Amino acid sequence: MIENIIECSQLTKHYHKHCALDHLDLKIAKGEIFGLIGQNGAGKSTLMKMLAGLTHPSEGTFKLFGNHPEQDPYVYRRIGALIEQPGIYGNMNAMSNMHIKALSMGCDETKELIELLKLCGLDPKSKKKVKSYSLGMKQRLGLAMAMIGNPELLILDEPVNGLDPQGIMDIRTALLKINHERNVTILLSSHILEELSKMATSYGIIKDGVLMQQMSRDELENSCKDYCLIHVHDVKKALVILEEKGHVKQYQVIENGIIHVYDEIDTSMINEMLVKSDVPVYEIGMHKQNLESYFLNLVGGASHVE
Amino acid sequence: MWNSLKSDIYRTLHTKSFYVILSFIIVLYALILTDSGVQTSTIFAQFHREQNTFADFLIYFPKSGLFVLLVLLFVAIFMSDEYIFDYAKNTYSIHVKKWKMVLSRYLYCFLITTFYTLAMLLCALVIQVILPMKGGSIQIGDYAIYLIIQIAFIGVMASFIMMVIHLTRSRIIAIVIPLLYGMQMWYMLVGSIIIYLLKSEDILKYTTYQSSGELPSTFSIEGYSLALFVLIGNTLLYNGISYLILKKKDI
Repeated sequence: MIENIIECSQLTKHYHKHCALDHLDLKIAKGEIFGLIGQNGAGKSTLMKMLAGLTHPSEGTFKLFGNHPEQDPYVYRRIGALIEQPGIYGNMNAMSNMHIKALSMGCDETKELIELLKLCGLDPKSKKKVKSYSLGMKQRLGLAMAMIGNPELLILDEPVNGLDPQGIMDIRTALLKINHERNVTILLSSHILEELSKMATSYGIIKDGVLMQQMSRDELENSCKDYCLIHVHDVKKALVILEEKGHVKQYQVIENGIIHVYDEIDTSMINEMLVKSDVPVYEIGMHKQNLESYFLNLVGGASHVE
Repeated sequence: MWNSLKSDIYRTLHTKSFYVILSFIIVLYALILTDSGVQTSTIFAQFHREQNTFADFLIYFPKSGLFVLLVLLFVAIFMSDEYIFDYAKNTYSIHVKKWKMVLSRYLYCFLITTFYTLAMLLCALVIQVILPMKGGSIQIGDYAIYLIIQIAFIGVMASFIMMVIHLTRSRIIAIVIPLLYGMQMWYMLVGSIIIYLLKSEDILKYTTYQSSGELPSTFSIEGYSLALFVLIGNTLLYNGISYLILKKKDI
């Protein structure tokens, strides 16, 4: 039986008259990297804040590790969260910030803190005050602090925000490592959807506080299959064969001998059919939309994605 | 609760303002003790080296305006840092037991005030050895009780400041309160409102400022009952409100 780490039931949050989250049901299984996708104000951060214990739900309930949070007195030790700004004391160095958090959680192991800082690409010996850190460095420290105490669940809102490409790759590697090695469940959002697609094993798409879709990586890949691209030498002959022998009805001829077939077809069979009919095939394959295009199509072509 | 306390103590030792306030307390009271003309006199706490004894100083300093002001100023800066640096989301998550957090913070204020008090006492004793003044007499047992109650009074005001910080998340308001309280302006302001509304001055004896100021240095049940009533009542009130704010308000 699959163990669900997060189970939300009819979770709702109202801010005055605005409904930030609308009767949301969500289940996230243990060991998953769950990518949360949505536009600005869609309700991603609200959901994450609620799960991290920073905001009260207006209606509905949620369970963490199979229990309601109030039933587990140590639930806060099992969760690491980085939501919006990392909560760090600017007038102290990175190591002091780590010690403060670790002491409050009752797990102040200097060796472990050093390893976490290194994992996130920070120098544990640095005496530099955090207020002089760049946005990316603060984000790295916030991430290291979220990982104190070996949490079983990480809730990360835009964890690669402000990082350079190398930093993004480092954080991705670190997150994948702890997910694989320690089976840590990760709930994360990112406005870099391609980056998200390199990590997430399942996705949830939120719009206006409503969970529009929840799907696994495989399901998303299938949904992103858009059309079959066929590049042939003789388009006219190829179309006759496709219509008569392949029973293809929906297609579009693009310039330079390229045909887009929108029907569900077996590419190897079509390829064989065309070759046997003396139509040279230069290229054939399923064309996939990227995650961003798929998301934009789903939420109605929004101009900005977060 | 103990973990939170340990974390706060660690942060205190790595906070510059802790040492700055400690230096201020020692330097200012050393100046008062050595009669350099520096004075902090309020209606309930006066001291002058030429006219008073060392025992008078020991009774005077824990309720003197400047000491209370400086200790509360540190508490205001220290506690408001959590909201200024957005660290509160690590501390006051809904999943954390709020009563434990409130109790931990009250204990912290008591501890930090005790530390400043003992540091000042030690310093005063050193000055008394180097530059002796008239000793006077004091009962150690009575004085210990007097000191604990005075520290607890500062703890009550610290609880009030914490309550205001949780409510407003404003450092400026948090800093203004100790300034007004230490300079007895808070007492005068609250007193004026109370007198205006209730048409009675008697009620003022229930304020922490007057109750602490009029606390006798010799212990007796009658003399301390009112102070304990004010102390316990206000401690429960302010910490209770803090608990409700933390319980109900989103971080």
